[in-house]
Amino acid sequence: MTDTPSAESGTLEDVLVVDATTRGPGPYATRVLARLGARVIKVEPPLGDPSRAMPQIFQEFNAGKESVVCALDTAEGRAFARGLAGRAHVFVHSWPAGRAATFGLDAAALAEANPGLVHCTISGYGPGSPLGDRPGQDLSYLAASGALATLYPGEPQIPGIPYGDTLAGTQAATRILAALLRARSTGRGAAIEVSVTAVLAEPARIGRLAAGTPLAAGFANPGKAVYHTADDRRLVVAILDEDAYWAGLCDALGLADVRTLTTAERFADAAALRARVQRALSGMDAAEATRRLGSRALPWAFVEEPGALAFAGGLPLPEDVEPALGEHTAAVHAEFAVRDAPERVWESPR
Amino acid sequence: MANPGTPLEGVVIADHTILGPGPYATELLARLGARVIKLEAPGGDPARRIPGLWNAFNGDKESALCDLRSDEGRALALAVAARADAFVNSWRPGVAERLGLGAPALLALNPAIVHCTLTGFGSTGPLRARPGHELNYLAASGALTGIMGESLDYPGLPIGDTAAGMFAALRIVSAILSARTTGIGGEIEVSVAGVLSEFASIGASADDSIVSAKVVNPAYGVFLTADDRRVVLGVLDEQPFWDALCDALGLENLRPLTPAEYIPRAEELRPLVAAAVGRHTLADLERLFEPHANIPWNTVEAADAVDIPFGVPQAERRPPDLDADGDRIRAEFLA
Repeated sequence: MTDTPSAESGTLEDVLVVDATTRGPGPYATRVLARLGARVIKVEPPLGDPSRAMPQIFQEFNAGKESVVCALDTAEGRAFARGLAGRAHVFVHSWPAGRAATFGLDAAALAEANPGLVHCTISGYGPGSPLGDRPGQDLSYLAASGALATLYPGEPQIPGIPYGDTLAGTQAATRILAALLRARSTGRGAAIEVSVTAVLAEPARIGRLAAGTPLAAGFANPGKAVYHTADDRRLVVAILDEDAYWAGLCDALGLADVRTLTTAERFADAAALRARVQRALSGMDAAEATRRLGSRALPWAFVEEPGALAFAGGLPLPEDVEPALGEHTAAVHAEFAVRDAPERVWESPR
Repeated sequence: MANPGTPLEGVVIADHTILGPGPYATELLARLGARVIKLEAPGGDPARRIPGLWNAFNGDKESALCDLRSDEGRALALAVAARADAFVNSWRPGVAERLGLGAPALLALNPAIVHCTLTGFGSTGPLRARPGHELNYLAASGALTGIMGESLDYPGLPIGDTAAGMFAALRIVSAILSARTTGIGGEIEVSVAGVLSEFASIGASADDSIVSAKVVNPAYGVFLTADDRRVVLGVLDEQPFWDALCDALGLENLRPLTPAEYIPRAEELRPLVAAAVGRHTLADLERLFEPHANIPWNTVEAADAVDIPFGVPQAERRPPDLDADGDRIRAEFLA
């Protein structure tokens, strides 16, 4: 379908984002905007974003951006940052409450010079939250939101995925673009506040809503479980109340006597049926399991390592690289060091 | 500054999705002010049989019956698509085309439309032909390994549905923004496994660093108090955090250690920190930690235990009954 226009990339090519965030969620939000085509200028303190100390994570969250060093403890640095923000469509920061105002980079101050600006603050616990300005990171926010307790059926563990950073970053990017859509028709920007803990509270709540239903973790359902093969490959089967899938699983594993059980019967005898399924799978290696399960349209999959399979339908990863600290300082200064009234990249209707 | 609450006012979404991630994506758009018209097959979205999830994913929408096997149903689907900013479906590959609702057909009808398809494993790539649920996508993307390690448990919250729903909402808003600027829409696909795969890869990229779940740190992780409450300590290589924690817990002999010293000795030091936490009740700890503003700690809470603003906007209206808005929508679009 080569003549179908694709919205896969380049959709934000005329959008300028000034990004003063550090560490996880903020940089992920602006990284996503960069991958959608926006130009992102990362304004860094002289020592850089602390996550530069973790090069692989820094790369994941910051590739494709321009880096400009800007010392906000100097009048010159503040003036330059305000000048940049005056020309931008989006300004994002992750400073503690009140800090933006001391720099003259809060939403109200920037809106005076640039009324169409979308100003976004990303915080951990959120302003005015019960945990105030206490320091924290992904694990803290997972714990405070209820997501950590909901995630693990038993003892809480440390998840190996920065779910809070990525989910809050995605949510912040969505809110920024929605506000930008409005700004393009009204000429008026917005002040957005996104807290990682508060974003995580939503999946935690949704997880809790599933408690007691067949969707809950730990619900006794022989059709939904993590099993392993004789050669210790883990595989999942995820059959909820679909009787046809259960019959197909029984056919694949040679469990003819239980293939006609109803959903209610399967749930009632879950432990024994799980043991039957596991025994059958313990008698075959991964290749044999693939041969038997794979020939039928069944909801199963091996438990893979990250990146083992390449799936389409995420967000295409451009082959871009993370900027060195201050790599673009001179170029951005040359481009934006305009003394007169800021020139808008696109004009809002009056 | 405009009220940031409903920036998508005036945006119309034709929503043919069912079950998890699709409805969550369109509900997020509805909560931001978009008008979401949920077009349902006879019998309705099967998620209606799971009230908890149905309610979480379908607030602020309008519902109209739309039987795509009938001429009238197809006419309604086309009429809504002709005036919509986005058309969202979660059908298997080929179904939209067979119904005359594929991207080329709808773009011919409405050049600015954003045609979004939600898939599980993706319409191309490995496992594309296999059916699946959340747990399958978690396993195949590497996210299950990332979150649960080697255990045979699985997570109790729908990470895939929420992550893919949020990502799809983002992609749709981005594409509408572009379409409103250029007048040209386009086709996007978001797969649950694809989004999870990105999150899992980001997690794996932390594997060599101190934030890795595979690395033992002396004061990072979940600890138990004397009264069996779980608390999180989040001290990594931050000297001021370490100093404050040692002061608060009376670990004078550990306080002089620098991160370069305490991190390599994690196996030896973590039990000491755990024992110090375990000597105190939660109330004691609160009193001990209170004077130190820079200790990154908190309790492991149940969902909804603490009300924290500035997250995802919430729905104002309950999900619609099946075809609750059908007469009005048919009159409006088929007139």
